[in-house]
Amino acid sequence: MDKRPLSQLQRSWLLGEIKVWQAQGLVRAEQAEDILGLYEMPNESAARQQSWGLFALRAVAALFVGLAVFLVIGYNWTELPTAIKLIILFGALLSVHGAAFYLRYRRAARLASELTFFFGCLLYGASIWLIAQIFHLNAHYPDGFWVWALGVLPFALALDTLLLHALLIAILAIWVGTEILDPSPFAFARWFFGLLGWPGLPNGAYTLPLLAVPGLLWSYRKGSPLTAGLYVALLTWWTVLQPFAWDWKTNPIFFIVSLGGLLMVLSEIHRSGSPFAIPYRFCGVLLTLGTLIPLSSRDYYHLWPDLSYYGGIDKNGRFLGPGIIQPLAILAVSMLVVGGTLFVILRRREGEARLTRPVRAFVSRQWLPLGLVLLMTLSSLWVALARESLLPMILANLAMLASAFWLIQVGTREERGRPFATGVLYFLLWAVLRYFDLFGGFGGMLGGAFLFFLCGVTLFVVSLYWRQRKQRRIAL
Amino acid sequence: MTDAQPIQTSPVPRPFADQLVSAVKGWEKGVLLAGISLQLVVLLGMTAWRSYALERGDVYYVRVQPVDPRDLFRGDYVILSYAFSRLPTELWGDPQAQPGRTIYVELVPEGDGKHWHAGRFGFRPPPHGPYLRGKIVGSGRIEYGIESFFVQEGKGRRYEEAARRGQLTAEIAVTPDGQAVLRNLHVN
Repeated sequence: MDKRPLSQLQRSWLLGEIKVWQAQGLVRAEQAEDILGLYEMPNESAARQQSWGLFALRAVAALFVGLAVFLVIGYNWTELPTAIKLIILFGALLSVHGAAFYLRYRRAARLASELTFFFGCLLYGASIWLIAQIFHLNAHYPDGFWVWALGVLPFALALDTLLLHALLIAILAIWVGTEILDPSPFAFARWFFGLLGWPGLPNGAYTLPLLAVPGLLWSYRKGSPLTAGLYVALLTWWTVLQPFAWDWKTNPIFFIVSLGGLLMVLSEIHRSGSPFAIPYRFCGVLLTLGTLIPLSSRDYYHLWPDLSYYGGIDKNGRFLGPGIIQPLAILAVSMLVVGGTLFVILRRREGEARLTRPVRAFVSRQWLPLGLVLLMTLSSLWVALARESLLPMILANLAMLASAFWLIQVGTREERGRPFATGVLYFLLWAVLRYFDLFGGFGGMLGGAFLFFLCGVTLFVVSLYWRQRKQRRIAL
Repeated sequence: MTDAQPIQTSPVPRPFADQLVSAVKGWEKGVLLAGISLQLVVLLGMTAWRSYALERGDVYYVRVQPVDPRDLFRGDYVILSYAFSRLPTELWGDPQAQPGRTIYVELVPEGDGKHWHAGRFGFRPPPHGPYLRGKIVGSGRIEYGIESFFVQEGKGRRYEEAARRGQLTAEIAVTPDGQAVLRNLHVN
């Protein structure tokens, strides 16, 4: 069995603990040696860290060389005949991949081979654009990114590091953005579904899940939450863009907040303590907290007063944009996600006959995300039917406060500093924003002084509370 | 970077993930070779498609129309427009004239014996004579795939000025099924 990685700091802590255990007679000397034998020795750990450091440096170097190649190719040398350009192009691609093969299977230099394959995949992308240049190809340019991603996918799945996945995700993110926000009847994706008999379907870049899910599964199997996080972010980006693809004719902000809540709900499909839940929670919190900020501000609703596409309020104070599709979409996606998550939770219960207990535990943990989804459904429905924006704005402010409270609650319940600090900071951000919205105009310097005094007192009280909790924990 | 040890807190999709990764890793060399082959096929396909049209297509000269100079030269390529790039007025309001729809335009020789211009437009290929195949892209515009001409950085100015004076001609190769490829630009 391979030795488990251990940093210098963790090793010092473990050595200290083992000494205490030995002194208390909990473990014998040979058992202590066996425990230490499970982990890397300091020299092995240093070598591993140096190896990864070098790998990262070389990856950046390959990226820069790749960018240089892009620019040289982009210069489009008119003096160079087409045939010579093509020979250089195919020759370079084959040589780089050939070198990568040689390094991997003849020299057993796996990391060096991954870097070389990465460089080869960059060259492949450059080649797509060079051939388009050579032949003055006037095509729908996002198709170039799609074809590039398709060519990188086998490498990402067959190799062992994050590098090719990062490249694949970056290309796919650009493709999805350009494909959906710059639609064209020439688009390959539209043509692809046109073949299947759905020519009227809007171009939602539907091949994205097919290209992204294999990589997501790869990251689970390889035990890489970081890679999983990148794929979760990519799939979130794709989902956020769907209202634009389907041309909702209304502001999809309620849908985006709901999506954040649903990502937090989706993290529950993992077992307690799984590091794979973190990317879902992180993306969900980021999306929710970020989107609630504009939604809670009066200025936001006045930003695009005459564009029904963006919603907004017209000159008579009426909310523009029909948008009944939005609450329906939120409901449909929520039912799918919450239903799927509950199914997984219930299937996982071990030896527990009652169904209500895990469901109750799930609801008590996720009351905020579930509440947010419900709130956003009602807000978007209200906007669609009553065409009024004051109530959604007030509800968004309440949601901000509830989010701050929920994060503080999670932090205290699980003894984690980050959610706790995020909750406190989010509350302070809310206070500052509302001060400038409501009192900034007439509060003046004294009003500002009062606000900052209030923030200082809040932080002081919070720090005292956190210290008391720590002391109680130590005493126990 | 990754390559960490598999973590025991397993997520739900693990069984399928296991199968997928095991299958890929079991055929690692094959998957990598397939990846390289795929890349080569894509690039060769792009090359062959255009080379065929360039080598086998008949050559025609068509006049380039002046375009809004602010849009004409953008970075390292010249945007081109032709008289047949606009949907004719008689087809405005035609239910068939939807974005994405293929449209055909006959090529008719001009009196100078060199240039060709647009004849009749239709939604079916003309029975005889050279023609171009294009696609309606919205706002009454038609694209034939010959609207971009890539130039070396800083060399697009003379084409821009020639187009503004109406002295620019595009040399295009057209296959029997109407597919056009831009071969070159000439300043008259």
